[in-house]
Amino acid sequence: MDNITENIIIEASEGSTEAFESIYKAYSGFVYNVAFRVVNNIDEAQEVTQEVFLTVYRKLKSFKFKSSLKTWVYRIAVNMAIDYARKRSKEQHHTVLYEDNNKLNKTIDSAGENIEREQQEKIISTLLEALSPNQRVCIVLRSIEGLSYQEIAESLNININTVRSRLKRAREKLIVLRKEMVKNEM
Amino acid sequence: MKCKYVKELILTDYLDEQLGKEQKTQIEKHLTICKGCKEYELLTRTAVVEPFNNLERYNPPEAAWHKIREQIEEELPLQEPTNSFADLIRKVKTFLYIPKPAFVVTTIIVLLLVVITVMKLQPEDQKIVKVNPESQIECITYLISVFDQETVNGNDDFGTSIEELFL
Repeated sequence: MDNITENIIIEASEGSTEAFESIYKAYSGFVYNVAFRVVNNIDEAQEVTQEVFLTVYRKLKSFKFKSSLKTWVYRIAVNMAIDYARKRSKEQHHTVLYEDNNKLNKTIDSAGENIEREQQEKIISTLLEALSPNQRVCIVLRSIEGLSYQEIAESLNININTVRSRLKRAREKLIVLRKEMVKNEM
Repeated sequence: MKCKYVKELILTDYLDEQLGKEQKTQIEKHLTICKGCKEYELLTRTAVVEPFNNLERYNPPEAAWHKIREQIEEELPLQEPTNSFADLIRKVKTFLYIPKPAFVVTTIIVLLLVVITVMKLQPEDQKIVKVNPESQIECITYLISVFDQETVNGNDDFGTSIEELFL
């Protein structure tokens, strides 16, 4: 993912579509998956992805190589995803669940795994929906994307201990919710 | 180790594998002797950590890139003339860019060169000092003889108007 050289960045900032496509290919997977988990809606995830890369393109000239491009793109992506999630939760109480997201571009498609995976996706969707956008993004970056605490702190531009406390509170909330879910299933 | 502290670590650093070896061993030791914490660790792991592991990853649809590309190509001609000055500044900056370690090394080299130059110049100055005593002695001898003559002749005034006024 990190084979984006300084030359590619400079060429892209000077308007080379091919160079920018390399950047898109390197980071679009991360951006799209994070956006999908944070906004919990496939159409909005695509919208967020487009907005993120247009912002990256427009701001690339001001990129100062102080951080890695990866961290910079991650920061734009998580902030935009959080903004979308906040706006939406203000507009209406969100009820989009996994069934609505049937347009997903799946990488694996084995019939035997489908039911189990759908159940898992439903659980994930419900769990993430119960969290605030700030807590949700920490869980997504850590538990799904596997970023270290330091990388999360850099992506969100927050202190590493804030990452810890957000994860702690999020998981405490999730434990209570999971217990309720298990009770309801019984 | 107190259970409250252990549970906090279970919720964060322990299950996220962010602990150092020593602290991890301490927690594991505690888990072997504390049933409550062990149960809490199991609950947290199975209920809120493992469900997120190995989730399927999705690829963005092709349409997303096409839309971005279209938008970029629309914006491209507009960007070029407005940013030409910024381009120039950036190129100059890139040309003049010196990374920090290189700047430090350059400073040290310049300082060393200055010190070496000063040290090399010093012996030449000393030669000048060594040459001086002879001419200094000649000069002093001459001045003493002139002074003695003037004292003998009693001609120790300079005949200026100020002297006349005061004397």
